[in-house]
Amino acid sequence: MQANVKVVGDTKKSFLTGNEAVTWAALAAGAEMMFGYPITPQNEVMHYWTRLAPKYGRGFLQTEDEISAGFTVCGAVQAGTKAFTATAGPGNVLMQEPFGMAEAMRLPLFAVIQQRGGPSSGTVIYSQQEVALTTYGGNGEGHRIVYSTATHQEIYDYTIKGFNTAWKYRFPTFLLGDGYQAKMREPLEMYDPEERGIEIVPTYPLLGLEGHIGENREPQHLCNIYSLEEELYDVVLRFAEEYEKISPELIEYKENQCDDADIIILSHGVVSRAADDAVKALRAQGIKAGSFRPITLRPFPQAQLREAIAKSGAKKMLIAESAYGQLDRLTKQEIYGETIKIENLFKPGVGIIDYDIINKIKSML
Amino acid sequence: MKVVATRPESLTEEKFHYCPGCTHGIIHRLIAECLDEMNLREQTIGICPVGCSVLAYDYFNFDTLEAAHGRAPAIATGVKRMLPDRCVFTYQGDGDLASIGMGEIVHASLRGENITVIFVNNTIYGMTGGQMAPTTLIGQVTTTSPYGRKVEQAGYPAKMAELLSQNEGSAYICRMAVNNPANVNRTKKAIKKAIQTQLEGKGFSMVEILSTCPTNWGLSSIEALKWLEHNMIPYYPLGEFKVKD
Ligand SMILES: Cc1ncc(C[n+]2csc(CCOP(=O)(O)OP(=O)(O)O)c2C)c(N)n1
Ligand code: SF4
Repeated sequence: MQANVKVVGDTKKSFLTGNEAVTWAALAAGAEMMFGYPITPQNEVMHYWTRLAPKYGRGFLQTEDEISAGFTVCGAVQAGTKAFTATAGPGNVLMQEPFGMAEAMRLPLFAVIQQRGGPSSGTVIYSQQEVALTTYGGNGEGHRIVYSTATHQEIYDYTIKGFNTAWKYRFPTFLLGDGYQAKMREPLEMYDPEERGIEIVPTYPLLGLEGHIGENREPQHLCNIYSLEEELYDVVLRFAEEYEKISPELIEYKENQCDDADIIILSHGVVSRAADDAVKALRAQGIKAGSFRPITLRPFPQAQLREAIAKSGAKKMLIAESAYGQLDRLTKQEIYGETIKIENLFKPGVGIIDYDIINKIKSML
Repeated sequence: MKVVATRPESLTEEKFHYCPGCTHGIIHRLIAECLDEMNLREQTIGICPVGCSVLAYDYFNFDTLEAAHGRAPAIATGVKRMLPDRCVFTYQGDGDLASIGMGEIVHASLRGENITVIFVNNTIYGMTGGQMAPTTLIGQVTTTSPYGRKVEQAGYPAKMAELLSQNEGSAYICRMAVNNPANVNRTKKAIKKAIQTQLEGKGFSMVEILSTCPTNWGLSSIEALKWLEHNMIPYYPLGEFKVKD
């Protein structure tokens, strides 16, 4: 594999779909292998990857379903390969089994999720209904890192970052996009990470290591099941402790004019763009609105959100999302005890524009 | 004026959404004609898949439900076991049946589940934009095998009729095609035979039907029929593979 060749060369302005941006960023980040199964709106990641990968010596396998795509990634990363997958909707549901294994075995799995409408086959278009699934899906404790992007530039940036995060911290890492971001075109700057001083975190194998078993190394027995309650308890507590320790380094968010805001709009992903537009329009009308956007949904910027509420003295918050309260529940559990009055704008599986938010805010005054 | 052909009662008046030259529509009509002629419309339950025929429920004038991708045989099993006097069939594409749904179809057959499967093999994922299917032929170009399917990379095309005919639970397994009138007539007979197998409680029945996808093959309607004949039939031979007495 020629993972180190420069893929992009000089920084260039491009006009791409989000799926194309994922592909280029994965190549630039040195991803060596993609495993995937077709599902809209993620398909073009595979289409571009299968066309481009051979030119850079990278590999691809279309598996029989998403369960297999997730587990092949689990196998490949244990072999020391920078592998990834991309999926959506019911595919994300099926991948919860391998994602859970990645959580349990601390595997550097990276997956791109392009949310579509649910439940089940739902729509193939757009939603923000995979927040609960991506952050806390599976029979575990949600020891995952989830970046929710809002622009194509971020898709590019966080795909590169996502691989690095996964390999540095060894918690499964997700880029949470959606059908709008996947399918629409937008300008962005593509670059080779090294050009920006971004160091690519090296990969290493856990299996098939050098040396002779019994002589200079022990056989690897990578465990995913425990005989005793206490054994598992120790493992999960250790994970929780490590996760909490690294969380401050990982947390990312964007705050817009919260300092003097009377009302804060909380949203994530593409909806945050509508929120920022709404803030601008509302301010022009003399309404002091601000917006807050978690970029990492896991770990959640709870201290930063509490601080935004405290310093602004805002009495009201609007949570706007293209789901029926998934961000709302996540937020409430994170800022338990705050007395700010929370209202909501829930549009499951449907887009939200500035106008929707402006109207809602006016009705709250 | 003499009426020589009418819309089968088992089809609604809804217009098919299929691309021009797609043979999904012919297969829908054959199923409807068989059910009419066997007087089964009112007692039939169809399980539609996720795939291009996802909207089949709009076209069939009897009870239908839509399964999640690949799971139609499991849902059919649940329905048939609870309503054993109904005629239950699934309608599935090759991605649905031979890829993600491989487990469900093999086990439905192993259990001798008394259902009928209409398996539409067009060597490609139609609905999601022409990706490689387990049935994609060697060398065939798809959106996930842009340089042609290679054995070293993606293995061999799945011969589902041959595979399932090995199972004791399979009572009737055949492969047909709808590329010309003679084959269409043969396909119709086979569908009737499969349904009859179910009515007699003999076990699992499946009619694999070679079908076209002119859109994702990048061919005209006529070229697609020829492509099916010259490329698919040599690899996927037609005929009956299992007929239990
Ligand atoms: C769990 C899950 N994974 C993927 C999909 C996306 N998907 C919908 S239809 C389809 C394949 C369709 O191909 P096929 O079964 O061959 O039928 P055709 O469209 O060719 O008739 C896929 C992969 C889905 N709906 N659910
Ligand atoms: S995409 Fe292919 S299978 Fe689907 S309706 Fe069009 S021709 Fe038929």
